[in-house]
Amino acid sequence: MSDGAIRGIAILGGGIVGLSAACAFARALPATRVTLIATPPDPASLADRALATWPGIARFHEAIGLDEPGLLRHAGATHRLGIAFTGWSADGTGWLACFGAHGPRDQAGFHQHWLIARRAGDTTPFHAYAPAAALAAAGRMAPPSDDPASPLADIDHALRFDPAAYTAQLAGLARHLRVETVAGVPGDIERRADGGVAALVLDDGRRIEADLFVDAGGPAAPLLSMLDDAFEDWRDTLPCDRLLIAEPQPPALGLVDERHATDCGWWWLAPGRARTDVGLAYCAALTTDDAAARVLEAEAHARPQARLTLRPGRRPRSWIGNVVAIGDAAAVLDPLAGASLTLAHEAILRAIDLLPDRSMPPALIAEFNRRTADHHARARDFTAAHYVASGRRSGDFWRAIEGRARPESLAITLDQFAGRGHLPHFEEELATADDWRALLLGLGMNPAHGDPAAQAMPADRRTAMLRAARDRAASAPGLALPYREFYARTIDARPG
Amino acid sequence: MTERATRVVILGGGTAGWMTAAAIARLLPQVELRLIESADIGIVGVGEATLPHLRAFVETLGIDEAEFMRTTSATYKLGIAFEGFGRIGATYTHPFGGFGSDLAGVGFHHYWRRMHAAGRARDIGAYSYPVVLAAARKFARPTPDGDPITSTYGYAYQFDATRFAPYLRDYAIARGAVRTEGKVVRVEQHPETGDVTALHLESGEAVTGDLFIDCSGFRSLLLGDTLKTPWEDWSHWLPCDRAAALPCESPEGDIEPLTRAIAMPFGWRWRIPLQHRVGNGYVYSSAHLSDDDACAAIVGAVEGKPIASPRVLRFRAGRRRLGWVKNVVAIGLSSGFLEPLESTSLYLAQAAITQLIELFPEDGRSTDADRDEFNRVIDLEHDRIRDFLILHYHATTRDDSDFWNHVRTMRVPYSLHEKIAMFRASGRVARYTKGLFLEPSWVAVYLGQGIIPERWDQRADLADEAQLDRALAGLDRALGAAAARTPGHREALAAHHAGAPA
Repeated sequence: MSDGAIRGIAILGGGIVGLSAACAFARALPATRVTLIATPPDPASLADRALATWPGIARFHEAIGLDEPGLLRHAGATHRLGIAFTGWSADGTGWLACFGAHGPRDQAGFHQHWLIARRAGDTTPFHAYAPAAALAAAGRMAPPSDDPASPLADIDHALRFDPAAYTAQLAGLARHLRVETVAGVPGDIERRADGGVAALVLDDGRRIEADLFVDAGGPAAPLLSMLDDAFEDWRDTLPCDRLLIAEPQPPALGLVDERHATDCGWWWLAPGRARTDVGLAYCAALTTDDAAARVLEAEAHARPQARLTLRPGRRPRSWIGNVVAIGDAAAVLDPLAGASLTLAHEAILRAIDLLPDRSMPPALIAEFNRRTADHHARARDFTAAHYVASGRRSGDFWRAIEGRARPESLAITLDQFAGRGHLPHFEEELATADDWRALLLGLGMNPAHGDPAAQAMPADRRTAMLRAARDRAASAPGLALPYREFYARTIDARPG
Repeated sequence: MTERATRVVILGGGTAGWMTAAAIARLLPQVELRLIESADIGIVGVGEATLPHLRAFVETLGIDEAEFMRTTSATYKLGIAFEGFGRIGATYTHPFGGFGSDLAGVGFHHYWRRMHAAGRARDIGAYSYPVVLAAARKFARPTPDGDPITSTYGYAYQFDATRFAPYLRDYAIARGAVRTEGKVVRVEQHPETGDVTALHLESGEAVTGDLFIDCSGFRSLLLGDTLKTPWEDWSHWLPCDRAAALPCESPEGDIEPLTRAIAMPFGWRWRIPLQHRVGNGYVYSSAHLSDDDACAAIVGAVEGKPIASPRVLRFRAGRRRLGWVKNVVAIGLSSGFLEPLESTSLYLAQAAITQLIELFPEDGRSTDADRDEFNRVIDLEHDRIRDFLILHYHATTRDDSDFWNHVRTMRVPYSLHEKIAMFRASGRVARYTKGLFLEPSWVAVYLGQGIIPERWDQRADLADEAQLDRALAGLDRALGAAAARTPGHREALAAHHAGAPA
């Protein structure tokens, strides 16, 4: 590098996304000045609400130097093994979508064997082959194992947080990493001759200069939108544009979130250390706010507290010149798959990995934008698949989805899976192949054709393989502790 | 399951044809498999150098590696050495492995670039174990223990392609494939759908099938001639369209575990050492060099005694727009051709076979979705390899012939232009995780061809220079010491053969 290195980074946004970016940049670039303009987060910024995360969050926490016991102690974190779905499939069958392997890892196309058995009358659900689902069903938890012989080698988990406590922990880490935090609201931006941003001018007249500006200011993207306000609307694919947040329910220790489809959309329940979150997602054009409130009370037995308006979609270029947007400023997804914070964390790590010099080489910025846009698109596809591939036809919301155009990458995935259970490869996926299969099979997709390579296996070998995989998954709870006990032990564990 | 078995007909018994037959016989035993080949039609069979992926193919077939290597007179290959590509007199190796190891999440080549700028680093190849091993003509299989030196590379084979196809033929026939000797005189198509329904042979026999696999080589009898699938020409980027092949006797001394690609005034020549001979060939542009001059040049260039006269092969860089049309899948040269500079031809056949098996239609009747997905994946492979090959020609200072002047100054595909610009500006490589030639390969060729990044990851500046200095010197010593403990290539081959079941 020598010349041209980034000397200062200014981050706009005092929520979880801005703090995450501040900690990550300060940790990776100790010689670079990091300034955080701690504007309060927009309530509709879903990444800042940290409603859910994905297993990849461990990689982010490792990069910034936080460990799981610390997060349990300080951020109110609890473990999330997956989601229980009800009401989404045509026949109403629910399922458990859990992280980690389904069936033996060395058995390529395991689900094809499961499909063959199902066609022959076997009714064992797909999640019966996932050790994480067995743990979730039993309410037990164990640390993942490094020993491939153990079923605990096949489990994976994410974390949920108490957003206030998580914010406080990240703020403490940012101080420790010498992030300079500035209160205030940007009034204006000073542009450079080349079109880039030279400085943010706060409403009290202070100038914040930097070589790189991070817009973590929520869906309005206050900084990036000044350079380019292009927005790709995804409401056709992601029909929920309204969230009704319920009054918090009492805290609960649980390993599984819930997603219940209902006639006007779906409602969620997420147990947590500080409270249990409940809310309803619906489409404002089809359901009035009053009707939504009645649904929340009738079905989730919860009282409405706040309403949020969402505009699902993305900014096609999340990095322009010397401004990069992260979190809801770059892409807005409804909270169904819980992807928002994970997309933000991945984008932060990607920005550090590809960190340009001050000249912001266009080819490098284009690579960041390509990978980020691909990642957003696949997160959209995974979220949208819940709606598009659902067999539910009860309710206007679900009937309105029928016949909608699908984005090309989602169409490829769904058509391939519907044809013969094949899952095509895409770079920059949010979900693993196991996650995709658990979702699509759970929704009731039934591939029209079998897989000849799987059919080549003799029936008795298949039966034995399936039985061994089921037994393996079923043995996982015996190696685990009731979650309450596991939680208590983990929170007391002192990092090495 | 269908009531009657799906009938697959493979046309052409070259390497691609028998690779396909062997894979189907192994993985889809319920399929009724026929292969039609004609002894009158020769096979191209110059593809003697392979990539590490072929090992997975051999393993999937359940073939014993030692037996396979004995039969095909195979040697080990740790990479490809390129001489005189970036500039006359400069040599680098594209190894089957990376360079050094990452530090604090930052790629080794960023630290290398920093130390190189300070005049304190050797050529980057000095920090790659397969490069060091190959230079010493030594070989050992990578260890499975995660050792930071001895586990971090791959290997491929250099073998006699004319023995590979017969070996796979015996394998496929033993597993139920039926071989029919004969020449196709007429292709019958369904009057409405245009699907191929039968191949009529000279003998009068009509071979019917559900799915036809075109392995007819450059003639592309089914995909090209019959279904008129358009050809996408890439010869303006990759102008080499002939090769003059000339096998020689092996020289004295140990065998190099390397393929050599040596730049010539109008192309380049390969040197592929097998157990019993050395394969050579001048790949050239017929617009710039006559066949006679090419033959004379290869005879003059080889170091061993020729064991045949030069044989001229013709080809053209490009591909059929679609590899799977109606009920015809093309595998091998019938679907496209990229010159052997990076030994990709068997890899492309293998990738098509893998994809075909994954998308194999249950009743032999494929859908548009199957074909689209196959074509999407195979297109991506072709495009990336094309860009990678063009890089070897374009990134050069050579101006010693019209040929090199053309490739140096031509406008390259935009996708490659962007990749080069990014590496030059930042040392970053466009990322993908599936397919051929991942980051270490691009780094090897960029640097080897003289594209030195103007900057490096600024995190590489955080490390202490004296510590990096010690780390580089230590790595250099450790690789040398590990290579010194490793047996020579011939010794490794003998041990492998001896230890294997007969």
